[in-house]
Amino acid sequence: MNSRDLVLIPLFAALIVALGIMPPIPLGFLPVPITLQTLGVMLAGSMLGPWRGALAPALVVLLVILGLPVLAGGRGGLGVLAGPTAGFLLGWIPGAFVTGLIAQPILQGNRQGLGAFAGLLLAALIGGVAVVYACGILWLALIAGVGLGTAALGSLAFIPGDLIKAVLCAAATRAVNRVYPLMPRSA
Amino acid sequence: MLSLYQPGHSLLHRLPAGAKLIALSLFGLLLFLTDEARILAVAAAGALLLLWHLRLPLGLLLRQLAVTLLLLAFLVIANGLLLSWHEGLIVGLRLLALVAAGTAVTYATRPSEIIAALQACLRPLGSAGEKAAFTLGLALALVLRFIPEVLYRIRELREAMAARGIRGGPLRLVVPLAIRLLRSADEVGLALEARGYPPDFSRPLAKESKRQNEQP
Repeated sequence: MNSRDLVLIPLFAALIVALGIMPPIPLGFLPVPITLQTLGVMLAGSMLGPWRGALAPALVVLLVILGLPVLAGGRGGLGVLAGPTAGFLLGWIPGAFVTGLIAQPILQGNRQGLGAFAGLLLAALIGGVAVVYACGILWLALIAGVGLGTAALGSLAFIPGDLIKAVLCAAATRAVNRVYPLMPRSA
Repeated sequence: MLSLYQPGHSLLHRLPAGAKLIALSLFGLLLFLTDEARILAVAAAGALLLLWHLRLPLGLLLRQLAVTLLLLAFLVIANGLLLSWHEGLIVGLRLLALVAAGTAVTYATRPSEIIAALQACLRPLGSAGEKAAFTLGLALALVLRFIPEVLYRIRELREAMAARGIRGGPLRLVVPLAIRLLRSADEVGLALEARGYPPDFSRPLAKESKRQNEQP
C-alpha cells in the first residue's frame, strides 16, 4: 500500500460517515427518507477498485466497533454490530469489493458513453445493492428466526432508494473518470 | 467526532478492553447455542442489569436504541404471527441480551483502549504485525481528521452552488466532491512521504532505540 492509498481509504471512509451525517433526503414518492450513506459505499468500490474500496467501509465498521456514532442517525457501537441490522453494515465490505471488481475493467477500458454507464450501473447494482441485501437478509433471517422470505419482504421498502443511489453512483463515477482517470491504465 | 463512551467508575469501566471484547463475543456465541427461554431470559436480564449499572441518562440510551428496539418489537410480532409466540419470545430475548450487552461495553470502554487492544493482537506477528498496527492507527487517525474536512467541503460546495443560483441535486454535489477528495489524497499522500512514511519496520522505531541509549 503506497502513501496515496493510505490516504484514499480513510478519505472514502470519512465520505461514508459524512454522507450519513447529512440530513436524510425525503423523496416524495418513497415511504422512507433515504440517507446517502450507502452511496458512499458504492462510490468507494467503483472509484477505488475492489481492495481499496472494501477497506474503506471496513474502516467504518471498525469505527462502529470502537463506539463512534458514525452511522446514519448518530448510531454506532457494539450494540449495532450485535443487532438485527448488522448484516447490512457488514455487507458493505463485500458489497464495495464486488462493485470494484466489476467497475475496474470498465474504467480501464476504452468504452465510452452509454456502454460504460450501463456497466458501472450494473456494478453498483450487483455489489452495492444485491450483495449488501444478501448479507443483510441472510443475517436477519439467521439472527431473528424469521424466514428468508419475510426478511426480504421487510427490506423491500429500502430498495427503491438504493436503486436511485446506484444510478447516482454510476453517473458520478463516469463523470469523475473523464476528468480524473481513476484507475491506472495498465494495471 | 465524539465517541459514545461515557466516563464512569463502574466495574465494567475498570475491566481491560480486551477482556470485555472477548467476553462479549463468547456471550454472543453462547446465546445462539441455546433455545431455552429461561436461560435466555436470565441472559437478557443480566445484560440489562449490566447496562443499568452504568447509570446512563435514559434519554441518551433511548436515542441510541430506539430504531433497534422498534425493529426488535417488529421481529417478535412477525415471529409470533408467522411461527409461534414462543419462537418470538426466544428471538426477542436473545436480541435484547445481545444489543444490551454490546451497548453496555461500548458505553463503558474508551475507543483508544479498544484500538490498543486490537494493536496488541497484531504486535506478536513480528515486523508485519508491527506495520499493520502502525498503519491501522494512522488510518483511524486520518478518518477522524477527514470527517470534518469532508463535511466542510460539502458545505462549501453547497454554498458555491447557492451563490450561483444552482439548485443542487446529489449528482451535482457528488462529482465535484469526489474530484476534490481525490486531489487532496494526492497532496496528503505527498505530505506523508515528505514526513518519512513509510517508516522502516524491520528496525525498532527511532523513539524506542533512543530511550535505550539514554539508560546507562
